[in-house]
Amino acid sequence: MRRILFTAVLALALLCGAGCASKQDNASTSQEISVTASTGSAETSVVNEYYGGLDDYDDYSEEDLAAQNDPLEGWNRFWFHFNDWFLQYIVKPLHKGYAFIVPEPIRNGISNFAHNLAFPVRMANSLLQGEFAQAGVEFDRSLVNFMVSLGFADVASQSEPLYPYHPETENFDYTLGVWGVPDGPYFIIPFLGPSTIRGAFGEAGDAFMKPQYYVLDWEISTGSSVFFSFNDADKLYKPYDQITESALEPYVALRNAYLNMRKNRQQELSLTFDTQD
Amino acid sequence: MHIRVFLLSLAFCVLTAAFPAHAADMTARQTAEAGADRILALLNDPAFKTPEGKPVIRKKIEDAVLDLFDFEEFSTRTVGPTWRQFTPEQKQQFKDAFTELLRNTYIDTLDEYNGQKIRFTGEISGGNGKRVEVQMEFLADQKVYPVAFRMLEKNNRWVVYDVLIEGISMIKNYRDQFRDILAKNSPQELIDRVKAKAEEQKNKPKEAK
Repeated sequence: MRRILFTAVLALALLCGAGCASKQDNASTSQEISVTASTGSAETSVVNEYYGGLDDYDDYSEEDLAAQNDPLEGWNRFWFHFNDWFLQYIVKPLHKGYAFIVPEPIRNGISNFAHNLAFPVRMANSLLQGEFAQAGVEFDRSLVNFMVSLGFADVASQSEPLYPYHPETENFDYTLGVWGVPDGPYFIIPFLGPSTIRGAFGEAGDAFMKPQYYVLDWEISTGSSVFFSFNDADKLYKPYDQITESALEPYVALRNAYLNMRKNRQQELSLTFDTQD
Repeated sequence: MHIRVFLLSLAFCVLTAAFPAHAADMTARQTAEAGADRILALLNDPAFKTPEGKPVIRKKIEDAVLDLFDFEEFSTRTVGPTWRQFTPEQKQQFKDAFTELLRNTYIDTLDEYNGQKIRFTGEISGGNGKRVEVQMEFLADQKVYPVAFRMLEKNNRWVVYDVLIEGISMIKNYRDQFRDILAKNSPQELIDRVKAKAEEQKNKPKEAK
């Protein structure tokens, strides 16, 4: 069972991005859950009656149903099937060959390089959110990484940060959230995968902030972006397979996992900010 | 004489501690910890790595899992309100098929175990003390993943009815899928699909690592 948990945990963690959810503020989390629990218990008697003996404390809440709201289901299902095909028959075989030729340390180096190269995007987002100190931290870290390793390593992460660093917030999706833009419905981006309407605008915004688009020819800059994504493809398709292979309705399973993860991450990030202020 | 009685009773206590008969006196957290320890001990058994010992240990792990987790609760909760429309036979069929599906989906992942640890971090009770969420951390590859068991008291002992991994409920994930299927299909159709999926997972070729 332990292994089961581990694999599932790993799958979910990877899907949600680079270690975004491993740390939690315990006090705030417990508070969060006990709130859920107590609202749930108030409903228990009603639920009991309605579901004929099946009682529960937060499993059939209204919020739960609202989260399933998927007005763009037609579009989403089409692109879900397309992306699935694209991943299984194009990306996966190509990446298997690539991973065979290029060893993991080099792929990780490329991954770090791509991350460091994108520092202006993160810095710009911090500035747009009014997080000036965070923008400074971002600049310093990238400077160190480029000086020490030309950007192929993340040496900055090896020293204790003086100022809390949370790169998860440094994207345009989060910036829009800070500005009060609602998340909007579930939306699958062609080729990229699950997101929301705001998430899709966020992706587009981040792409516009990449300096290489203004310095290099668009063919080269697009090519490099595609390559960097491809380099990390295994981090995407392994958890994806975990979620969809065991599912009877892969579309629903992915939607549920994605939206939950997104919600948890947003809660966690806002908690981080609360404790910080 | 006294010593023999003492030793016997000690042995009895040690042995029975591993079985659910005494679980009534245990809190949810103790039950979860005991269950986790038992499974962990089995996974750490050197015999698990040998071809002849493996099936035996696997069987023991399955028993321990079936003991700690309540598959009846899993079934009713994943189906949700529509459960009332199932006939008793269908309920049994569904429970068997769903148990089989979970088993076939996860059993092979046991082989990947190599010493990961679990640390219990706390518990929260809800539903007027009838529900307890036992929280723990799963330590793997220098990363920490939050995991939780939701437990309820049934027949005088605590059982797990949901597992949350990084805050994502396993039951909810299946329920959303089943709701989607049941919206357009009959309960029998759902049972058949669960059975087919269980079979598919069983015959799934192991991916080369």
